[in-house]
Amino acid sequence: MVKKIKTNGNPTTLEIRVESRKEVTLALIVSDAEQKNTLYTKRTGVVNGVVSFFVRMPQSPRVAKVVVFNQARGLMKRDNSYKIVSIKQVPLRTINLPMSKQTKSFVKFAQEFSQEAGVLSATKGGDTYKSNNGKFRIDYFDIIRSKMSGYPLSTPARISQINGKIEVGKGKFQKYTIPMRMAILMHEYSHFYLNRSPSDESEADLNGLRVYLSLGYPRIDAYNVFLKVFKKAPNQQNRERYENLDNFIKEFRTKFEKGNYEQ
Amino acid sequence: MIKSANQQYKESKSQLPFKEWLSIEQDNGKLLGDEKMFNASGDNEEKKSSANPTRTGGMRMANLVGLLSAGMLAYGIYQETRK
Repeated sequence: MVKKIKTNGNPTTLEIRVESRKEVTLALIVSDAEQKNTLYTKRTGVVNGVVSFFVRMPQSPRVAKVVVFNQARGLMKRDNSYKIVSIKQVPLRTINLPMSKQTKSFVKFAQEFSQEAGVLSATKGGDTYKSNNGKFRIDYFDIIRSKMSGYPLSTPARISQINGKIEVGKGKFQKYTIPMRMAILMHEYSHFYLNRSPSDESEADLNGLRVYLSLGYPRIDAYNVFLKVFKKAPNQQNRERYENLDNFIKEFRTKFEKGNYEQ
Repeated sequence: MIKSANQQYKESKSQLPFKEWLSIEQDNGKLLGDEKMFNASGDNEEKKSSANPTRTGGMRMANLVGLLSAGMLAYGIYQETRK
């Protein structure tokens, strides 16, 4: 099933209500109908009965393309294994946490970059993108490589501890959803601008997530992106990072999001 | 071995916040050229075995082509000398 919804670039939450008589795993993809490589969510969920998927969109395109299909069958023109009951827009709930002027300014830049990252040019030597105030800079590479040997690294992004310049790899970012891109950029920003201990990865995860979740971005995309990164670098440090961020997300939900939409 | 700015900051036991300390050290020119980065993946290990598969694969292929050419050349010379 493919449907187009006018979201007009406004922050919103899509409630996609689906029904199935038997247990099925449905795939849900929300993307920009007018721009390639620009996903707002890509997830699956088990449905048996009537279930609502909530897609939180602090940033949205002019027109969103919603695609739902039975994962076992793929996208078909007619599929009676499930039914779309309704798709509606409900208000996006955000948490009003104190945020510095600098962080607000970076969030704006990161949102613009995340929105366009699927179509922006990236080269081996890095294409430079700067925030309007000139304070923040992202160098967009085809792949992140070791500065010493030139070998590709598994990381999607990194930040210089000298000047706060962020480097991003398009190979990874192109496949990420916009919230996933935001979670990584906020992590990098935190290393240099928010952390007490700049080299502490877990502190950067949590500082970044605090901003990310308070803006209303979906939890599921945060889990997805960090699991993706940790899968490529499975070590004790990253196991601990996962435990810490999992606890943080759960605590954040209990503290601030009582009664908020799932996912 | 180059020490990271963060390591140097810790060792200096400075009371200043990291950013302030960093800015002073940079002004003094002590940290120039140290381009240490924090990776989102948390490790700086390079995927040496799989990162550049064409490099080792390419070398093997070059050796094979070289060996084959040498064999063909030797065979050609042998055929010529028999005439």
